[in-house]
Amino acid sequence: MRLAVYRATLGEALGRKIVLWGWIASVLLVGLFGLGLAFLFDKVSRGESLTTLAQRVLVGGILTILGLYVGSFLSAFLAMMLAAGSVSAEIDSGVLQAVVVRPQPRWRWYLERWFGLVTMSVMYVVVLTLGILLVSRIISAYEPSSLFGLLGILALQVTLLVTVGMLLSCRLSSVATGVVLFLYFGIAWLGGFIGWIGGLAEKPELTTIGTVVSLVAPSDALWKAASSYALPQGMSLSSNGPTDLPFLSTLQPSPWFLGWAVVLTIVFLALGVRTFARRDL
Amino acid sequence: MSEAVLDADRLTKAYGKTIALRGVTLTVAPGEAVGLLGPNGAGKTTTVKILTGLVRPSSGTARLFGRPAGDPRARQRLGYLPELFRFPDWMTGEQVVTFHADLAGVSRADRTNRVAEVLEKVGLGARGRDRVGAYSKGMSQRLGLAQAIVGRPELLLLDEPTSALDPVGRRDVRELVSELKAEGVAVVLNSHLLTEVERVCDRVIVMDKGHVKFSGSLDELTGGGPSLHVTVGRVDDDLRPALVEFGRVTVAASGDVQITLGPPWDDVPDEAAELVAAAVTRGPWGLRGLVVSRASLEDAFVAMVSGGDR
Repeated sequence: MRLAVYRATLGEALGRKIVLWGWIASVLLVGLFGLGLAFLFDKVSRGESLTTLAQRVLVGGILTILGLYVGSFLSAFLAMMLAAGSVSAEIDSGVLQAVVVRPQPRWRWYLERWFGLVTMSVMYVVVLTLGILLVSRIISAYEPSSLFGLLGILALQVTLLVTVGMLLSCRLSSVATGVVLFLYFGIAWLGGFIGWIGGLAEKPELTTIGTVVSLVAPSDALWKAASSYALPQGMSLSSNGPTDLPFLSTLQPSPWFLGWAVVLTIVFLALGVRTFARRDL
Repeated sequence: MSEAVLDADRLTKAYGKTIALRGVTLTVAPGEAVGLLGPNGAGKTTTVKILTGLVRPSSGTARLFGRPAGDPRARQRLGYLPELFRFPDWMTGEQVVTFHADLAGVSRADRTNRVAEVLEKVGLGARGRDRVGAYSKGMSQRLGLAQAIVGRPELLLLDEPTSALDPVGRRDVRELVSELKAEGVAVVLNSHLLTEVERVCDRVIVMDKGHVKFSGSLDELTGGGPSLHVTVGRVDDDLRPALVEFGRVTVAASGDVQITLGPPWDDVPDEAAELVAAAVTRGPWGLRGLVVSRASLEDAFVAMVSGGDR
């Protein structure tokens, strides 16, 4: 099995400017994050503030979560950009027509391309997350409660976005796909925020809206699930104070929710395969 | 007759309210070169796309090598050059053809030699390691041909293969198609360049407004072969009615008289030849002109089609 389309997709993604800019942005992000953290801990070491271990962990944790949040956003953005033209641009440019007449079923082209884009997006989010965590560990001795849980959920988040993007790209132009995909991502964030407000104000209607949105568009809820694994062990199981913030959650995700996100991704993938197999090119 | 490599039966295709094909039936035999002609909007590209499985027909069937066109196994022996095609700019020509060789199922052991061979064949042997982004339009078209033939197809569908080529490139493509034909490859050439079709194809199919308007040899399309035009100074009145029975007699502005026999002129009876000879010998200046010509494919084509989307 030569996986020619998969290899070509990786080669194409690596050659795209958006990926280059993504890597530049990630280096800048890790650098900036490290610099900020280093300045903060330099003050700490000179005894100006934050002298206790708990305070160091807390401040390091908050900064690390913020760094990871921006990293997650960058990764999601890159995944959406990669997926936006993944099918439509290939059709419009005429690249696809000569390829799909080859003696392979269409679903194979679709899955190999999907796998290529997912590989690229997952690689990016993993490297970026590890970069942030490494810097945080060196400077503030920060340890996430579950590295694999964190990376796995972030990988699932970008996989979901790539999958939805490819499905949309089967029917819409690249620009329209990008817009709708960004809306999908934005609605997920808004739903998460509404749900958080609902929890804070004890308004169950708002919480329900947030929950429903997170089931249809789980990217924000996935980030929060990932953030719970990003917190150090002591913080993730805290029972005092709020368990949820707009950009993080201290509650570990329910296996049912994670399972649902996986099922949703598979459903979107199957829909994409079906749509692509049936459409005229 | 051996099994048709391509067989379309009553194909129709509707895009919403627009009807692109209205019952297209055609076949192509092994080793045959067929020109697919028609004005813009005639349905040629839609037909080719259905035959390659890119588009699903609204009704009717399309089969390649006896299998439905949508079946990947049917495309095992197919080579295709799309009308609008491009290759990823970041790849080299060699990488593009290797990629297609992989998809076409060329064995790993054979791949390197085969890729070099087809690049050489289309005239890109020296430029195979250049990035596609640096290729001219003509070079891209040659690369398109290379990817189309890399899998050793038995049926080649070429959609406007020479549109971006200069005269030398066109001649190269003609020679390549002739070479493939000699090897037993069936070729379907969809082209607006009628001279290319005239020089390469055994048969033409003319489409217009979603119908097949004509399918047959070039001679049949152009009216059955060459005509003989004999110009004399005068035709005596007693000869004229007899000549008109076998051909046309027209008087030019100069006063010369042109007698046209055929097409085809070589089928006319001996009696007609004697009448023409008499007209030549009796006229004041004898024979003033003698031309054998045939209606061009362009003339026949223009006369046949109604203008497409014009």
